[in-house]
Amino acid sequence: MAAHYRFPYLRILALTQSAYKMKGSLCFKNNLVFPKHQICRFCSSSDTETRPWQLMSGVCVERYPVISQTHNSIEEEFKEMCNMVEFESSVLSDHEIQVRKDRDRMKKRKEGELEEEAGDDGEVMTALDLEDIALEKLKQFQAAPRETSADQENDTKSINRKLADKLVLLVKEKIGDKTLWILPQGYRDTGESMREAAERVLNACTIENRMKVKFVGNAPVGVYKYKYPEDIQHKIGAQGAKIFFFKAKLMQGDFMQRPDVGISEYKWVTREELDSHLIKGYSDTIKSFILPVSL
Amino acid sequence: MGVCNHTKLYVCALHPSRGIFTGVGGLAFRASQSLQAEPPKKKKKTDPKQEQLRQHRYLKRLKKLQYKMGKAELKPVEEMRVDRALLDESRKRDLPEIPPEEQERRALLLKRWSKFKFAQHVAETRLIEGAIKAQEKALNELRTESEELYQQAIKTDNSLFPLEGVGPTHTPAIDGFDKKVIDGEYVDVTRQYR
Repeated sequence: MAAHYRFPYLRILALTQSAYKMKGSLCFKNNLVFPKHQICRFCSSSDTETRPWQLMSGVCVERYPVISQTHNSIEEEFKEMCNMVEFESSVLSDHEIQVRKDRDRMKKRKEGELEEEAGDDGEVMTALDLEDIALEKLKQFQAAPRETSADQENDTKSINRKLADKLVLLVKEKIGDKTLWILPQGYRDTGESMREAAERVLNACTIENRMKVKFVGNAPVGVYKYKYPEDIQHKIGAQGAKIFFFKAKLMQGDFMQRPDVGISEYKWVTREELDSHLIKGYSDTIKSFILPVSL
Repeated sequence: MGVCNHTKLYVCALHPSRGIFTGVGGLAFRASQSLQAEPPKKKKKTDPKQEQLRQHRYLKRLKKLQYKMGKAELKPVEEMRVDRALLDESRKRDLPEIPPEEQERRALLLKRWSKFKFAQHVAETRLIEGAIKAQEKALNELRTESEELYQQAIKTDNSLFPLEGVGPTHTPAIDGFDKKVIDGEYVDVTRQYR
């Protein structure tokens, strides 16, 4: 590759040609080189002008965490230290004072110093008794478990799985000749704004009134572009599609799939599980606007 | 040196921002600062008795109002001050002194904690910046497609606020728990002041 060139830019040209080994990665026009991953107005075929992009709206429905995250080791250590320091710098509470008094009274009674007072028949409730009663009552209370049955069965359709994490709704749809896991998406109708399109898309997927979401703002949070293959481009007359994502928070209910829509399956997945379901470029785009619960 | 047209005085270059003429002009006319002030207002001669009467009437009116409202209840000024009963010597805990190894361990733990927290903060900031960039990119793309859609997208969403949310708890809600049957009645003893 160390060929001599009269003009240094031609050498750079040759190097870029070898570097970009992708098929059709460069286009030449008027002795200028453009890498094809940039929008290139000059790289159109001679019979058509630049084709437009189709607009689609995608919806990212998130189920926010229901329980708090577990502490990692340093957080546990620090918590314990904080509790110790707080205990050391505290003073005795009324309850502890009462316990102390009761203890002294018991001791005195045993040693026979204290006389039996009238009406005092030894059945007085001490502070420790009260404490024991309170603890008994606490034991009777059963809190709901942090790990649910959905966790144990690994039921990915359930909304009660991974309560400490954020869950995102994914659907399986047929795109071209492949079935892929994607966020629910649909084309924008004429006269709609992108957010209205997103709301319509979501309502089309699910049975009415089963899921209550709150869309967060009118602006899209991310965009994903994909170019159609050449034959589809000719057929549809568009270069590709731009999907604008909108975020929605799940307030109530669950996703109930409509049987007539082109969705074959759905899942509620965590941010870590996204990579295993989605294609790389799509996954990277989505992860930029889905923030993790803990780092 | 500039010339002020209507006064035909020279504005001295030594005071360019104030424009005050303090030098000797062509007319040997000195303008001092006090000339720029308004002449003082004339003082009205008030009858001291009248003044007193007026004051007296005003105070009487106020007192009448106060009487109608009733006696003022003095609100306690809650300061960041420890309750007297807690400062008593009998309340002090009798704990052994913290050994130096324990003190050392605590100091080192604090250092590790601050490092951990800072790293967390940096990571959070990066994520947020990434999210902001993604949104900006999306808005730019939308703008290249259609200005109208872009304008619709950047409108404020008035239905977003007030936004309510229930935060995460340690354990999830119990299925079928009847909220009306709350064990533990209480009487609210918070003092209300007028």
